[in-house]
Amino acid sequence: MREEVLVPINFFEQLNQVATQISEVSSINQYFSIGSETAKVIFAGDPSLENCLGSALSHLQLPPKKEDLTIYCWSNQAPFHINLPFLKEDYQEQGLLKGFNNDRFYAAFQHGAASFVFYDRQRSIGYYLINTPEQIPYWEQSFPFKNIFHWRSEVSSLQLLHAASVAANAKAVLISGNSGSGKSSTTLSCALAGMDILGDDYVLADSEKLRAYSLYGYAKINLDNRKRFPSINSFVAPVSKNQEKALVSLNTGLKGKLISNSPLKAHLVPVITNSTVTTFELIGKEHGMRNLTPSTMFQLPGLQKETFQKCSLLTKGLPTYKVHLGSDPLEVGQAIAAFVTTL
Amino acid sequence: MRFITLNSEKIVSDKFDMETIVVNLFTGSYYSLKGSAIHIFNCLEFSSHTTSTLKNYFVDLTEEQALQIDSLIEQMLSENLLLEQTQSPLIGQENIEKVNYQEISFEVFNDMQELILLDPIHEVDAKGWPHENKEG
Repeated sequence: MREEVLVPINFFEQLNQVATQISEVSSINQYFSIGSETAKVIFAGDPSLENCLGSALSHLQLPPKKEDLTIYCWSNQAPFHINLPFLKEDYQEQGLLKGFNNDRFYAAFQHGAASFVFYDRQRSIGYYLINTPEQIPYWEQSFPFKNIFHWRSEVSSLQLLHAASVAANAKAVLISGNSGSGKSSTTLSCALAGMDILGDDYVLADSEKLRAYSLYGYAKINLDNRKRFPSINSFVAPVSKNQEKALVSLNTGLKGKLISNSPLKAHLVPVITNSTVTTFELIGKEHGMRNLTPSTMFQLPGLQKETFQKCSLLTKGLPTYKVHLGSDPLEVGQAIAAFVTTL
Repeated sequence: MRFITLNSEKIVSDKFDMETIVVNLFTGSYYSLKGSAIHIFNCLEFSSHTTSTLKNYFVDLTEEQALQIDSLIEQMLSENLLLEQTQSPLIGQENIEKVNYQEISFEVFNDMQELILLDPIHEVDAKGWPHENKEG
């Protein structure tokens, strides 16, 4: 059994056959604007998949049109079941599957999200395979298909970034930082102050044209941080047991609004302080590079050298500011809005 | 004789105004090089060297400065940013432009390693679906 599918092209052929079969029986097709391309996502079989994994992209929805990228998404259950040929020793760092990544194909298991993602460069088709919809964690709903979008960006100057982006008057800034750095709180503060939002956790950016593109319409906030943002409680998705963060829909209700893209003017590195007033300090671009690039490189499987180079190009093209965050979220948002308009 | 060269297969790097940033693709560690560490890294980018030939790129090194260069090379070797070779052609050093030594800074950041060393797969079920070890 293992020998028959060891060649990646044979496995991907099987994958494509099963995806095609299941989508012919039952599917919901959605079209989304991803960067400057159109992605057709085929939620096959279980209709709950579209609600679970499509909502983060709903602000990018398009009418049906010729797609540049196709993504099949389905639950690997009988009768449309594919035998997974991977042995436990095939699972490598970042979930990459040994022997199944080459000049044409990408293949990875998403640790924690209990899903497989595959991408065929030649056909421009991604496959997102889950065991059961109940196993999809809440956070995966906030950035579905990110590995496929990452792999797709190889053919362009686009780069998926582990960063937030907000804008005012058609001027956008990147906000980078690891978990706990104040990135999400800053983004929500900006939304409360009426700034436009492109994303909270991941955004696409054109490293040559210095433009940010929105990808996902959710922000995440630590549960014990919600009391700082009482006005957003009505937009917070229900929180289940063992969930350490809440999902906040950026599509509904906030004063700021999601926009699809905007030119980038600066890179902000937030720092939590005890100050009452938010201040801005111009710093070397190397600080922005260190804040943005390693977490982007190692959150996403594969293409590490390309990711480094695109992040470097982007970082060198933008002035970097350290933002000493004030304690009042509304003041933070208003200060950033005022600062961005001066760029 | 020990020659050293950049471990180009395993690292990526770029130069900024006052700093060179290097990332080890296999461990997730990343590094900040400042001062004369930048010049040493640049020299190694174009040729293999011995620590002695690297020191020739600097004007009138003190004993302490020479020891700092030795220490930097050992740290970079231990972080697998450099490779040792037993044989290598040396570039001619007759016309090299010597520079003044600047205090070396070599910082190591390991906060990305947990992203690489995620839960290993401990078993695969009959359908081929993996199960992660939830107990670590």
